[in-house]
Amino acid sequence: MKTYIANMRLMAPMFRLPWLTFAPVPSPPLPIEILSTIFAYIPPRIGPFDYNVGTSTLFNCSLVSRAWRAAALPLLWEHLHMGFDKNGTHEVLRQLTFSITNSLPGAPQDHFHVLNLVKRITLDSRRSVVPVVLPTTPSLNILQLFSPKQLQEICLHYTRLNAELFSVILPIVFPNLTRNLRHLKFYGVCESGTDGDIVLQNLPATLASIRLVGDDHSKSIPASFSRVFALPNLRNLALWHIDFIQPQELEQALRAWGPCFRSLDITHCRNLFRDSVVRALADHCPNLVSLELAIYPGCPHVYQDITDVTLCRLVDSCPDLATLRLRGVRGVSDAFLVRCASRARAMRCLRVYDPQLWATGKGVLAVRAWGRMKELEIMRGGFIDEDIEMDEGFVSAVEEMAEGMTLCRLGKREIVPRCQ
Amino acid sequence: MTTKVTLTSSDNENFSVNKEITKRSILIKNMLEDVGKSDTPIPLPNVNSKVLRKVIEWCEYHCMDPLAPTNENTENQKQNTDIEDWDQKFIEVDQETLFKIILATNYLNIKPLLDIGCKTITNMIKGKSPEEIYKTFNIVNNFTPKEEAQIRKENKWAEDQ
Repeated sequence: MKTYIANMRLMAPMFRLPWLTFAPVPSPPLPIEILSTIFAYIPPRIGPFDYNVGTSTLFNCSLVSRAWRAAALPLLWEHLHMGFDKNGTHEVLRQLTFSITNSLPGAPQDHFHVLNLVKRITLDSRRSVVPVVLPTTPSLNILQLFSPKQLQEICLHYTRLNAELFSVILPIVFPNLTRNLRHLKFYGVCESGTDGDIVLQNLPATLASIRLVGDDHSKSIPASFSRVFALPNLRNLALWHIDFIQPQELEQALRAWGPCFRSLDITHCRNLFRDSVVRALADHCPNLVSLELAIYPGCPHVYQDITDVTLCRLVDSCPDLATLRLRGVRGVSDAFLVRCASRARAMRCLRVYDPQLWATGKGVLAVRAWGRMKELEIMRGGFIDEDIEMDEGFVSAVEEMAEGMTLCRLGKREIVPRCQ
Repeated sequence: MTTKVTLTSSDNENFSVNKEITKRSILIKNMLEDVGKSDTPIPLPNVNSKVLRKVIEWCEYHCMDPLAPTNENTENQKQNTDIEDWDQKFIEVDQETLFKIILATNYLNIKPLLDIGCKTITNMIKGKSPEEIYKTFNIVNNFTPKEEAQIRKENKWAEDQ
């Protein structure tokens, strides 16, 4: 933090607006939409507190002229990372609130303050345990400056250690600031208990994508968890490290979401590695574009019954399937690879990792459907020399199509190296 | 036999161009589809002959490129300001022409060339202070004193750190 403050001091002169001290010959003015395209290429696209504002090109662009300011500020303030560690951004948040509230009286009529531009917030208390009395005031003041419909994405990093803090913050955010929320990422959902219920009971119907991340040690999930499956407009669902979901609940939801559903990511959820879940996707979600199923090697107590027949059915039923990542799925067979190579015309990324992989691609003589493939990896993982020897006919067929790929490895054979 | 289309610049110069090449411009492509078979020149009142010549040169060089999908601007692509060698040399023009090429490609709706122009400007402003940006682009500061005072007040939180 000391370095941060020191750097900010050094950069303070840059905050002075440059006065007109020369007679310029102006270039043709660029419209704001073109300036926005130009500024969108400026890295890094992270929150204003996460790097030194004084050296930020985007911040400097906001001081150049009205048009440049109008184009730069929405990008600069799109994402606000609110870290609740007492030695970190707390003081910055306090100063920001002070500056904004002080700047409002006497402002021009059409004036807006920068917090109006925030579309995404991250609420993060992972760095340290914080006493509730210290950090909440500036954070609460900032949250109170938001309008109910401005936030489109919230990323929440919950830790039980800071439960007291979250029990104050969460009721302010949910549902007051979530009327237009489209995306939610909730890390620590399993340990969140009744605090998690505040979030889950107030999920807005506008949500299109949700990522819920638990951990491998929790013994339960919040009581309101099933509210997720009742969201009417959900398109993308990611469930990571959550063991207590019943597959029937997910299958029922997939039936309800039907053709609108686009993407499912189930990572290390031991209950959900089921053939019936994949079958529900194949039967009810024809517009699926992405599926990721992952279970880590050596994970105990995993029952999986996903068959190659169901995987083939998925490929047949979901013609827009562009991404398929299967880690630890035993159902990958030669029959599946044959079907995939002949039918999966939208496929751009196929990654299969399984330490016990036995499919070699035998029987695949042509990969006509894979004309759009960019990333193809089928392997056991680990050292390349110890990986599976793939069928020569399969390798030859892929080599003929490999020109447009950015990554291609089949067992021991690396056709397009990862570094390219 | 290739079909030719005549494009007329704002200063009334005519350019006879292969029809397929003009289709790099979504604006012209849509116009051609709307009018059907016609020999009438297509007026481009927002593009002068110097800039139109440059734009046609780019379209001719890139005539074999696949048409870029419009919905594939990932975050990684957004952060990548690399420009290919030929395009780099092509865009080495005086600043006024560069701005006019950007405005023309925006009007003609030629996204790949617009991106090249925008990336070029991005590379010119990276790491520059506001003063340096003023000097580089000869931009006029059009903030009123009241607006400047307002901006100073709003940015006080950062100065005070």
